[in-house]
Amino acid sequence: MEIIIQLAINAMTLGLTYVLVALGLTIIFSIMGIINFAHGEIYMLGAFVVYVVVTSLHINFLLGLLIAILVTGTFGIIFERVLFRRFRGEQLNGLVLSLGLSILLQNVALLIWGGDERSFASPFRGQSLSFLGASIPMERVMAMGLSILMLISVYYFIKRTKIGQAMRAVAQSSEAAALQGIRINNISLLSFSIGCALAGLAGALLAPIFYVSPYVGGMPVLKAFIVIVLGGLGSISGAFVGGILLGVIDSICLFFLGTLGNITGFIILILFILFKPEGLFGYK
Amino acid sequence: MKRPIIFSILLASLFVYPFIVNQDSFFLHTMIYFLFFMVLGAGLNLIMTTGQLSIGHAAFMCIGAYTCVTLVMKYQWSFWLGWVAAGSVSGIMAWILGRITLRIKGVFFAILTFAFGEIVRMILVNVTYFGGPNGIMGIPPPTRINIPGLFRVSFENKTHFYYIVLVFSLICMTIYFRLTKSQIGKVLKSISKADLLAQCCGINIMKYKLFAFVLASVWAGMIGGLYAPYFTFISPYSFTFMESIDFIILNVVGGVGTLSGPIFGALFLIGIPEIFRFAKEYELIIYAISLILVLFFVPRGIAGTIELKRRKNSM
Repeated sequence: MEIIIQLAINAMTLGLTYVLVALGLTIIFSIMGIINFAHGEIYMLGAFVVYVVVTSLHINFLLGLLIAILVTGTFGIIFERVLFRRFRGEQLNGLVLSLGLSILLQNVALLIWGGDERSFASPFRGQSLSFLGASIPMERVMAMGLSILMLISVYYFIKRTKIGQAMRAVAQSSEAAALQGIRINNISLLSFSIGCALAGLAGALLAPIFYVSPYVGGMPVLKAFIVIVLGGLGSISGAFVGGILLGVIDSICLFFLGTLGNITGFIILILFILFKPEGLFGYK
Repeated sequence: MKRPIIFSILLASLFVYPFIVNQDSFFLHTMIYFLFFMVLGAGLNLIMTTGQLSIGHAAFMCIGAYTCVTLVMKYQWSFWLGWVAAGSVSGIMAWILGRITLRIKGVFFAILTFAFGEIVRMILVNVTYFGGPNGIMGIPPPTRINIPGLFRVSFENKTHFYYIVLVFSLICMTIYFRLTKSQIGKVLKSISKADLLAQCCGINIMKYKLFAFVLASVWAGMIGGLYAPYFTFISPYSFTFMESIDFIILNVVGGVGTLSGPIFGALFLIGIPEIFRFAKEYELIIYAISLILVLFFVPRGIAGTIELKRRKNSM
């Protein structure tokens, strides 16, 4: 029983951070038509911001999370304005551009912080909550709570506000949206920044649980691709369900199969693309 | 009249290259590496000309390398037979994968090929028969050719190895040039521009897509078969996602669907890091920045821009 709860909690923490990363990717893709391979490096950036804020500047961890969101969001604005805006709708060149950016960010981080894996303790280290006989580390509880909070607010923002409606309109047809007086440039700036901020938050939340290094962004992006396909490209609730589902599948398979368990995700990915490309929640 | 002369001078200089650089191992190594990338890039260029973006192309190189090495080291095949087998096995794999997946377009195809590459790598990491994560070491050089009375060549020497790579890549590039210039090249381009229209003109687009995909994978497999004895070591980490990405970068910089695209692309990919080697830890940063600059200022690729200019001048 304890093992099951432990597994479930691990699955939830991982799953929710996959959702944060995947949500950012899917927002950027639906507005700009670009698969952003630099997304993992934004995640890495978020992790490093929190690391620097907590260990060098001795600022509170929760405030550090906020700073990480603001910094990665600002980077998102800069990247969109300077680099990505020109490549909106150009799949191939946009993808290569994001790869270039990813190499650039990774090596700049390597230059500044070196390649070692660093870890640090959040103020919640050591505390735990007991739940049905299993003890759950406070760090994970907090990561889950904050992710859920963030997801709900993004969901509300996109579904219920005027700007969110404009974002959905641009995703459906940018030309028709422009005819209605929506400023596409502003919308894509905003979406890119939100997407980056989500990835930055995910990185910052997982930084104290795992470790921080310039290469930390690779895995979450891989998982985010699977999540997006599983849930349906461009669907918010799909990303949510897909992320949790992948978290569960991953934890179970890793527990029983070891490192070979990582394959399952990719096999599911292939099967979905072949037989149900619209995903669980997308539409054709 | 002018072009054939330049062409033959280039060709001749490629053949005497080892003697020009005095068999200096650094220059020879760079050239062999350049030829590897050029052929791999040319193959992927054919796939990309049809509008399909494969980000798992290195997986076929991996399949070829492992096939060749397993046959040579575990079953004592001759290298030359193993090399042919490497091409065939990766070709067959590509045919199977292509049959199932080539109907899918755009982002989904890219993600699919990416997943394929990752699966191949994970299987190789976990199967001890293929050496597991440590890979296979001490791969012997290609079997010597010994025709009594005529000649005998052994390939322990880097210069001799260079000639195998050179001849193979010249064959591949000739096929590539011929294809791109011919009717088939036009059909491949038409699929990416308007696949529905091409289909309405009676073109079996699936057949052409499959043809490009399989041909590129056979080349990748055979290059993999050469790569293994050249470096004498392979591991699942020699052929990762990053290598596949390199091939895409090569084609975007060179120009998709152009004749000389793979040549310019390989020059960029091999040249920029070599030129900026002195910059040490800044090397990859410079590489990334130059890639972004190329995308901004020559978005059609180097060869694509040259071709466009020439066409404008002739008009």
